[in-house]
Amino acid sequence: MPFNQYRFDDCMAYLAAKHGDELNTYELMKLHVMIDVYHTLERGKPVIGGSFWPFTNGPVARSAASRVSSWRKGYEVLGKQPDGFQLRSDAGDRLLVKPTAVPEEDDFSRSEIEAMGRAWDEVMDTLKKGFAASQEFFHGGGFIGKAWLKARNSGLALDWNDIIDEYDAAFHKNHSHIKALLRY
Amino acid sequence: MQGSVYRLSLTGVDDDIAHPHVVVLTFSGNRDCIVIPAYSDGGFKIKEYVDACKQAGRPDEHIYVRLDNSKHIDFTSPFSAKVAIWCVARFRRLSQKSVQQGKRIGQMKPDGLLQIARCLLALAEKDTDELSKSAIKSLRNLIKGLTQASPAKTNDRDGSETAS
Repeated sequence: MPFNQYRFDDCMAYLAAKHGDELNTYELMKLHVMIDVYHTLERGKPVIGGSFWPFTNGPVARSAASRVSSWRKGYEVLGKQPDGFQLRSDAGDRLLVKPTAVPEEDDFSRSEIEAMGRAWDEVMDTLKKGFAASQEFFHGGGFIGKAWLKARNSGLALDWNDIIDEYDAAFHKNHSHIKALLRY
Repeated sequence: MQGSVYRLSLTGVDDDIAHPHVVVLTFSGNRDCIVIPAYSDGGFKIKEYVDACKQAGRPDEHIYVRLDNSKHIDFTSPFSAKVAIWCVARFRRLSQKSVQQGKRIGQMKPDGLLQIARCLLALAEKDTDELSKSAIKSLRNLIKGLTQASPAKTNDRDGSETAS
């Protein structure tokens, strides 16, 4: 499914506002991946869309990376803020993103809200354990890390079948019905 | 844009083969939209998909609408109009920009759009996970407007439409 930039903005603004947090680029990329993974596991389709590529620091949607990169460029070169967000650099020169316009809960379906909640818990709980733990999850022994490794070896985008197979193997689940939906 | 029919090829979807998609709802604040894809009636893969949905307990009226495109679409460019399965259960939320990158092939008439919108609402009301509350509200408004613009008809799912 193509990357929907407006859904990306909506999801990130909603999560950041709900948790009263600013998000850095790493968190934005990983939240996107996990929102789409958890929604696809339940509904057979992503919320945001875009293919995930095996970047050095784990799976990343090039379209999302390009969007945030254009925000950074506009901010650092022209001092321009993107629609709906306020950017700033922290002491470590990390880009931090804070929403200025937040979608309402009614703008999301229940399954989208659940997927966002699971993604937030997963990404933020892993990061609380340290960057090494996040690396282990996203490009190590975690289910998504194993799917990342297969893509890394093939030089292709992550395959949804691999993501689902690795999830099922890790948690002893059976999502064959979702894989059937993804065939069409 | 509502009712516009575009021929879209989506990466990683439908084996990257282009299919007509009708725009059912547009979200002005978000600048994205909900589109419904169409497939040739009798095609193997769509039949397999519909059967899979039925096995999962979904009735026909929550999965698709069968329309004779020659009657329901004003084509603006050469396209072989035929009876098609508009697969509502496979609705997609895409940016309007990505939809407009496809080729616009026509405009669906209000009656066809009404049948598709009713099917999508039936799906959303049955499966409350599928659409946001704001999308359902917009869908109800669309149906209200189309009902006033179009004589009421029902589709008997065998392709023959009857006035109700």
